[in-house]
Amino acid sequence: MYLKGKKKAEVGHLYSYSINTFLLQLKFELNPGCPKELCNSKVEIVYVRADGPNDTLHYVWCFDPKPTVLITLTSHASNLTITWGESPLSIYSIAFTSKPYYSFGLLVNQIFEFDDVDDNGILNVTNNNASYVRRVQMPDSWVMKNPIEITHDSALLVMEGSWKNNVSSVKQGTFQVELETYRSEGHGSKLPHLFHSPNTTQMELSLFNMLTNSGFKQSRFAIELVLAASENTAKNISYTSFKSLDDEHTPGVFTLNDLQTPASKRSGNGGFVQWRPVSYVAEERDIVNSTESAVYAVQNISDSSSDYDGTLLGAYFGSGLSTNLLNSVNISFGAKDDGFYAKCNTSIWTATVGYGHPPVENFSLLVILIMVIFLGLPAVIILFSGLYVALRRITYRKDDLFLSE
Amino acid sequence: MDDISRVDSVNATTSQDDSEEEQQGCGGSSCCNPKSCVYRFFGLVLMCLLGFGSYFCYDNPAALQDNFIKDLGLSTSQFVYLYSWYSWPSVVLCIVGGFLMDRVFGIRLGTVIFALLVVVGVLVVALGAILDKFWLMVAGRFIFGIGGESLAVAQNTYAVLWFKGKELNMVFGLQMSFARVGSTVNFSVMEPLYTWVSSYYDGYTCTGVVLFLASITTIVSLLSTIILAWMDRRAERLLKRRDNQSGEVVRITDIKDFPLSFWLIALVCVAYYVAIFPFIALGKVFFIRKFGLSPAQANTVNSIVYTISAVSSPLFGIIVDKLGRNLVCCFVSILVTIGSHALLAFTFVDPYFGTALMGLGYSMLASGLWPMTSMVIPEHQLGTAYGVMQSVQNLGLALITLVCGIIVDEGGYLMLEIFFLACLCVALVTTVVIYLYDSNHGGVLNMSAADREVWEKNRLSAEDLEREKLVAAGSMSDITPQDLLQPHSDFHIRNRYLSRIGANLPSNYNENQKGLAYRALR
Repeated sequence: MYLKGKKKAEVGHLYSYSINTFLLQLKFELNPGCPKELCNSKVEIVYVRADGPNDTLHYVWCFDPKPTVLITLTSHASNLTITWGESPLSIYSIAFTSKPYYSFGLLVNQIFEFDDVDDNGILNVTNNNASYVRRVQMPDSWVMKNPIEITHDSALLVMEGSWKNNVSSVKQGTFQVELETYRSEGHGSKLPHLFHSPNTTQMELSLFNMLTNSGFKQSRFAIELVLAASENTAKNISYTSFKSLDDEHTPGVFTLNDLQTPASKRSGNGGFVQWRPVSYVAEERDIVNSTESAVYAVQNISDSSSDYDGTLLGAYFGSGLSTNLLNSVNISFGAKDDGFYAKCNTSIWTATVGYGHPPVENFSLLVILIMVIFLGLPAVIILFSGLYVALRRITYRKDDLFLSE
Repeated sequence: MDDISRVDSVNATTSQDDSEEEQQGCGGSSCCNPKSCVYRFFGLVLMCLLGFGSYFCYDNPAALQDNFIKDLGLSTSQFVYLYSWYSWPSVVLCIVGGFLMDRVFGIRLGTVIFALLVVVGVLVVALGAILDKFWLMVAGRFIFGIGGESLAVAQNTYAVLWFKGKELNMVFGLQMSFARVGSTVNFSVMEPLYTWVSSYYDGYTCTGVVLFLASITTIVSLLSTIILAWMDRRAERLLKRRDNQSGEVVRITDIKDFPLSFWLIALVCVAYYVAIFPFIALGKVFFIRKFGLSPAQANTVNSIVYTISAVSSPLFGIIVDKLGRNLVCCFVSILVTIGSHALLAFTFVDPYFGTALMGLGYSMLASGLWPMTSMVIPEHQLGTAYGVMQSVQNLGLALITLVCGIIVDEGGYLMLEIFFLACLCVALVTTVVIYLYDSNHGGVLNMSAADREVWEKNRLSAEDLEREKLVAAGSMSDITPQDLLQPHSDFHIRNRYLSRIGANLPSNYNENQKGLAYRALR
């Protein structure tokens, strides 16, 4: 299993390097081209343009009405054009000046709260009973938590969604979405330290202080992700999971999960989502404050007539959504014996969304070095002392012989 | 090896006559004869029992963790104090306890005092719970710690005193498995006991009452120390046992004169145990996440190490008793443990195999390692020596457990496993060093059982010889000091002859080896 993963990594690197070995430029723009009277200081759309040597990756992030990440690959010449109007976004209001080579979008469609009566951390997808699962609408108000942090290597945006305006729905709690994009390869600064390349955006979803349903005794949360790609609908997005021996970057987590579009799987020129099946239950992240996350079967969305109107996906793909690849997948947070959501009132889940082959991690140089030093050295010592003992034994015998003569 | 003990001393014969008379006074039945199996077996049972109470009560808080935290309103860090106040002071106090036992109390009184301290400590903890005074509980754990760890030292010393020679390894194995039984019984009994008591009392009173009931085990242990003390006194009187025969005074500064091999044994002890106990403490998440076990399965896998060691340590003890060669045994068991850790770190093989193997290695080491101390340290200093060893082990474990937590959080379990493997490699290298050192100093640690028996006999008869000469020296003025200092065994006469004629002596016969058959006066 592990070897298979390794092989895949080599292929993956080959492809992703051919696209973006390094970025020439990372340009960050808030509400590009938006007239003042429409946008004020509100964050409607965040646009990141990443120019590589051969082509350009565009990241478009949007939060209202649903958090969405859109990744498109175009030629250098292509630019983003937005037709601004009253929100929500209208169909085809997001476009590029020349047709993109490839587009991949991820949308956080829904939050579920479910009553895990058996305490196994698994959401029963087929049970739609109101006494088992509650569908929480997406937050209605999004504010930027911190000013956008742009460093030499990355750009970070933290948005906080809350349910201020909707009286009937949840009043308490926040749904925080953190998006970060990078200029170079490396590991995230916080646990789970996911690996990222210039072709990926890291997305972190956090549910803080949610008011759980009073009817549920053992609440856990789950989310539904909708993935759209400019590929044909012949095959669904595929899920792979592999274990490695190494948990150096994410202590206590040995598994790496990937969702790949058929194109990414086939030739490394499609979209992917990668994450580790862990979920943290506190801002102070360590093994003690971690629990697991579970993933469910990828489902095809066939009837999408108007479900995504107003979202970034609807605004970009428009009626093309039904002819393009459109899948959904659920992720739930928590595992047996972790005390449920109520114990810490926090669930944090991190994933990377990108273009190319999902990267695979191998033993780092540090681990190999430590292994060689700490295990090789004693082996050498023992070998030599063994030789010494053997040699001395031989001389011993000679003495005895001499004495007995 | 040559047997030089053929010279029978006159005194020895008379003392045997004495003891036979006494035995006849008792009716001559085998259960009263201190030499008989039944008498010694009964002593062994008491020796195991005397540690039972403290092992049972040590893990009371862990067995009732949720109830403790709820009933007494503790935070997790407060809960941890119950353990740290037990273990940190014992880092130093083990030495003090062992030393006091050698110097002031003697083993019998010392053991009773330590067992009494355990009872007092446990009762204070229970009282603290009943009164809902957390500081009182912590104080109780502190007293318990002083008594409990020193009691373990006393237990080791008793075992050496009674069983040195033929069965010592097995006895050490048996004591260890009994300790495991104590803590296992605690984990399975305390929860139902709490449920039963909670139908009469509730809240912290309930916890207190449960703890009072648990403290009965320590009273049983106290009683067994008293009986054992009586039995030991009787055995000593009847057998004219030679403990501390020359009235040697133990000083705390003797520690610095302990042979290098003792310190190396202590190092092996730390480096090895560090790869076992912290691993078990941190193992649960590792088993769940890496091998996909459920929490209940992970607990089972974790406890396999102890379960297997409880069964196999007496068996390994018997094997080591029959084979001797403790160092080879240690070497093999460290290799086995390295294998088990490597299996867990670098493969996805079912962790049951890894931990089962670890259990085997662990029990084999325990029955091989601890008795080695008694071979390099004279009996009158054994309490101090075992105290030092226990202290070093406690200190190492306490520090390394902290380090392990940091390693896991910063570098993950793979790094932790590499760290454990490195520690085991240190233990392995140290074992080799002990072997080299020991084979230059008589090689007692790695003798086969038969050789060791001869060696021990020679040592004792050399002492007899020495004493007789000293006694004789008072009456006979015509003996030269040279005659006094040299026991004239065949062995020595031959050696002297060989050196006179200029023959090369094998290195193990050389002059500084005289201690082998002749112990210097101190």
